[in-house]
Amino acid sequence: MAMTEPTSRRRRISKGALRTLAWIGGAVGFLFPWAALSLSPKPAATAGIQVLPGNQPREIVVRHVIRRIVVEEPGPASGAGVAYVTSGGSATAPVAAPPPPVTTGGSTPPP
Amino acid sequence: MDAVLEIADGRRVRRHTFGAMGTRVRVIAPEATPRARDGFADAVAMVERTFARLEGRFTRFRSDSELMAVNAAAGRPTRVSAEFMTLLELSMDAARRTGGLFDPTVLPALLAAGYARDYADVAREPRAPRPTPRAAGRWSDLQVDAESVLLPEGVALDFGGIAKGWTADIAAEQAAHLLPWMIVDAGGDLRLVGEPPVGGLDVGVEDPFDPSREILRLKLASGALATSSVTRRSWGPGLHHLIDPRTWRPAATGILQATVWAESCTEAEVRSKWALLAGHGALDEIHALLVTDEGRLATNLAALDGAEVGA
Repeated sequence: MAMTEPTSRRRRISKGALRTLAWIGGAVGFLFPWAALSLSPKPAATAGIQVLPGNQPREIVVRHVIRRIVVEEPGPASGAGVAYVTSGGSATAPVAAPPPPVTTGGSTPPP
Repeated sequence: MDAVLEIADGRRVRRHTFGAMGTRVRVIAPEATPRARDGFADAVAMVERTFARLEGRFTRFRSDSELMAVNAAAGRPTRVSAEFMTLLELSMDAARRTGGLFDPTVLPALLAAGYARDYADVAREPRAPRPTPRAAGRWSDLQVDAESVLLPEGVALDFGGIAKGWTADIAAEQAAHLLPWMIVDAGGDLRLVGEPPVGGLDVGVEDPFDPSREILRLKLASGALATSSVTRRSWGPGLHHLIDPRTWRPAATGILQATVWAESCTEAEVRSKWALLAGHGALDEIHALLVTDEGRLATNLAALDGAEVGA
C-alpha cells in the first residue's frame, strides 16, 4: 500500500480552447482603446478655438456676445490719438450709424 | 477694387482694395473735395508700388526675395540693402525694448507649427505640426554692422507684421501730400496721415470670434492702430501665427486679441504683439484694448463724451 495519497491530476485546457482564449484576449486588447476613445466625452462642436498652454489643449469658452467692457486707468503715455465709442453690434444700444470704412482685427487675408 | 462709402455725418469716402504681402490692403480717403478726387488715383498708384516693392524684398514665400537670400546665407556675413537694414534695425530695437518678446528669429518655430506655406494653402490644407525645434540662436545672436548681417547657422529671419506696418507707414507718408487725409490699412494695421474730420474717423474693432461683428468702435484722430490676434491665421486647435519666443510655440497667454494705438503703424504693430504676449499687465504701460479668452474686453483708452461703458 502506498504511503502517500495519489496526487490529484490538474485538468489541462485543450489546445483549441487555449487558442480561442488567445484570440479573444487579442481582440479585446486591440479594440479596447478604440472603444474607450469613442465612449469618452467630446468637446462641443462650436466655432471656438483651442489654445495650447504649454503642451495641454485647453478649450476656450466662446462667448459671441462680448458685453462687459472694463475700463482701466489710462496708462502713463497720455495723448493717444484714439478714443472709443460704442456702436451697433457692440456692448450697448445700437446707434443708427453707417458701418465704419475700416476695421481692425488681426491680419486679414487678401481679397 | 474701388468703392464709395458714406460714413458718419453723411461724409463720403473712397476706398480702394488690393492684395499684397499676403493680406488685404486698403486706401481710404475723402471723396468730396476736388483735390481729393484728383489725388486719389495718384495716391493709390503710389501705395500699390510701395507695397509691391517691399513685398518683393521681405516676403518669405518667394525664393528671389532679399529675405530668402539672407536666410540662405546664414553662417556668413551678407550685404543687405538700405531698406532691409532699416527694417532689421527697427526689429532689433523692438526686440531690445520688449525684452525679446518681439523676436524676428522665430521662423523655425513658425514653420514647425505648420505655417510653412502661403496662408491660403495652410488654411485649405493644414498639416500636422512638427515637434518644436531647439533655437539655434536668437535675435541677440545676430551680428549687424552698417551694411551687412550675419545670422548664425540655423537662424532665419521673418519680419512678418512689422514689415506690413512699416510699409503702411512709408506708403502713407509718401502719398500724404496728395490728399487732405488718408488711411493705409494693411490687413487691420492702419496708418492715418493728414487732417481727418473733427472728432476723428470711425474704426471698428472686430470680434475675434466673428470678424463680421464689431465689438467696439474707435475714433481715430491721428497716428496708427494695429491688432494682433490668435484667432486669425489659425489652422487648428492651438495653432496660429503668433509664436511666443519664451516657449517657441504658438502663444497662449489668455489674451486673444490686442488692439494698440501708437504714432506709427510700425510701433503699433510691435506693441500689439507685445501686449498679446505680455498679457493683461500691458494696460499699465500702453494704450490698448484687450480681449481675453473669456470674452472680456479690457481697455484704458479714453471714452468719447457720451460713450457708454459696461453692459
